[in-house]
Amino acid sequence: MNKENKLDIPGKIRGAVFKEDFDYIEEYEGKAGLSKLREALMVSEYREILNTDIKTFEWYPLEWHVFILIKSKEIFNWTDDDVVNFGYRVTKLTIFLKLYLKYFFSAEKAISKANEYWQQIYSLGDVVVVKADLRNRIVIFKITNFKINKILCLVIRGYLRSVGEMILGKKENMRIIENKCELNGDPCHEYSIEWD
Amino acid sequence: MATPATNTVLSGINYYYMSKDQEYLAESLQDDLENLERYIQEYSLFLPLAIYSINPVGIIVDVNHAGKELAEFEEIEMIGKEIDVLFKEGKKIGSYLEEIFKNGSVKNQELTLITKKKKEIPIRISASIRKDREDNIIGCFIAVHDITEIKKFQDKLELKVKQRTNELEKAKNKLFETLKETETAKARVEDEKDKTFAIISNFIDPILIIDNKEKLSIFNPKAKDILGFSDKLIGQKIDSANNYSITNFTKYTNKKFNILKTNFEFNDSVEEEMEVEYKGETITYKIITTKIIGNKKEFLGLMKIFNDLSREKKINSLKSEFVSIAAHQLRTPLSAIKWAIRMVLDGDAGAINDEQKDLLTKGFISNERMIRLVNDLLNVSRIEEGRYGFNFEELTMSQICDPLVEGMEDLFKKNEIIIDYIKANEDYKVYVDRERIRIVLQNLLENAVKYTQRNGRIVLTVKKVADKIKVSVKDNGVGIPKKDQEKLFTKFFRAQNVVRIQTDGTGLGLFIAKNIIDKHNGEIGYVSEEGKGSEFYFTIPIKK
Repeated sequence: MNKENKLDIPGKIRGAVFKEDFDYIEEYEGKAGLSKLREALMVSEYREILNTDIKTFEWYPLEWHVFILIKSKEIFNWTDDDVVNFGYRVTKLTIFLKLYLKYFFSAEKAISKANEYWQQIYSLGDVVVVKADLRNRIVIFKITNFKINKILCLVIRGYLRSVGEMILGKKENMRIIENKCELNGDPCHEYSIEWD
Repeated sequence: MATPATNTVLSGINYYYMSKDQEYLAESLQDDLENLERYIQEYSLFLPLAIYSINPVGIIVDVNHAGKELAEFEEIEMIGKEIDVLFKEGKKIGSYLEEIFKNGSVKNQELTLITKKKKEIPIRISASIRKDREDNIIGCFIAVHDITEIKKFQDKLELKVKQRTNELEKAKNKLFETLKETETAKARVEDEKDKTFAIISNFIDPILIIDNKEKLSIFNPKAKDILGFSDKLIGQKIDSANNYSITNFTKYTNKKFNILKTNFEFNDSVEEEMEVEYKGETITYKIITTKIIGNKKEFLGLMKIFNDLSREKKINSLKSEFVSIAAHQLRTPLSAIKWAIRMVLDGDAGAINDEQKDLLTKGFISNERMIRLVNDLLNVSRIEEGRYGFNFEELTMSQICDPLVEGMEDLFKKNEIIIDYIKANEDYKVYVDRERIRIVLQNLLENAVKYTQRNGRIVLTVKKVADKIKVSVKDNGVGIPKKDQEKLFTKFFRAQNVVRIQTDGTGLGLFIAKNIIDKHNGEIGYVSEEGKGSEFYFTIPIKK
């Protein structure tokens, strides 16, 4: 067992999101890609993932998810944009988004429920709406207590883009900007959603 | 103390302690949710109807398997897309969405779906809004029916209908043309029919038409009037006996027909003669029955045309009367002239010289000729008026022929004609008018002498043929031209070749002879060839 592969990451992630990791890799990297990932997992501290029946509503170690992302980036030579894209795409497929849809009768309502949606996915971290100025085309979210891994910062950018489109509609030149990062020593993560 | 739960937590970052019951409940709930999720997934996979779930701003938030298949997009490609990009109608979808969110639903709206591969699919949408517990609209489900096959069928049907309509239109036009032509032809036929009917109706004498089914099809007003036919007779089947003789019509009228003459031989026509009373007068008709043949040589029926002979008869009667009167009036002075000249020639008025004698002789001969003509005219007149009386008696042929031949010997000698008289084996008796038969035989012998050259031969033969006596006079004279033969027994007729030879002759002899033989129930006939001679004969029944 290679101790270097073990990540020391707290927290849990809902099975619904975690399940999408393998589906995404199979879709984009093919069965061969999935096999490579499985092989990598086999020789890692996280081989038990392969023997675990992932259930939608169950909680699983967040590090499992982070490890798969890091390994995928490594195996498939993903760029940062590829990781953002991963976050963008998997968000759309989760059942929690479908459950979260009940808030989508108005953008303001949906934005106000962001933390509730977050709590359905992650067992740690809090989301706060810093600003929601639809007229000036800017929404700012703050995430605290979520100092995990840089890779998740990229994934979250993808999440926000996806949810942003779902709430606000397709906007011209929608930009997700990470203004602050806890891993950079900032007190929190801060993301802006801006559009033209 | 409750066991800290490490794997099953419902919310938040803080672990909290759950009792075993709570743990069990939490696990149960999770199982139920898993089962529900599986159920929804299976249902979504199975459902053949494409369903798109959109949020209030028209973003696709979910799509089922059928929806992905129809649009040819992956789920991940569709979620987050605005619904209007799926439709050809584009931004117009907004108005449908407004209607959906306003009215709660929209049913059966026809649109066009654009797939990922840019294929256009005709579809029909139904939509129904979704609300939360507080009655806020949180989106809607849009069901999409692929109506390609229906459209194809509709288009096919429309095409078929169009084609059929065109065919029907063409057929209709053709029918109208045909109808028009038929109408025109019918009008023409009616016109012709009217004209024909007008001609028949206005014909001065009766006309009857029998169709090819032996039914009386038309008769004109004159027929109705004269013959007493009623309109009910139209369509009546007519007895075909004796070529549809007028006698077959007598049962259809209360008029009395007197049939005078019939000829049932059908060459081109059949002739009959009849009399009928009309307005106190007797009308004599000659009825000619002739075939009606169509343009295509088809037999169409028979036409009976009535020719009023009354006028002709009256005219003939008047002519005859005139001739009779004239002849009578002429006979007396002619007789006086004859005797006067005779007396002078006989010297009763004194001597006359040769020149005077010659002139008077010529005058006498001419006068004799006139007297003969007047006598013949009188005889003809009597025959035509039915006043030519007969006095029949029983005689033998010798009693008739012998005195006549003896009496004509001078004539034979004068013309240097040899006469052979061949008698029958037996001297048969006949029932005749002596004088009239003598006239016939004398006429035949005189004609033979007139039209035979000097040194010619005449053979008079009397023989029995069946139950008749046949008397024939055969000569080797000039003969009769073929074109003149059929008119031999008509009044005043003389063949051209004999007129040149013999200017004498009234042309009445054979007419009178035929009448006499007819009255004796005999027949008169001839065989002749121009340049070779003629044989005239008559037959009389032997007296039993």
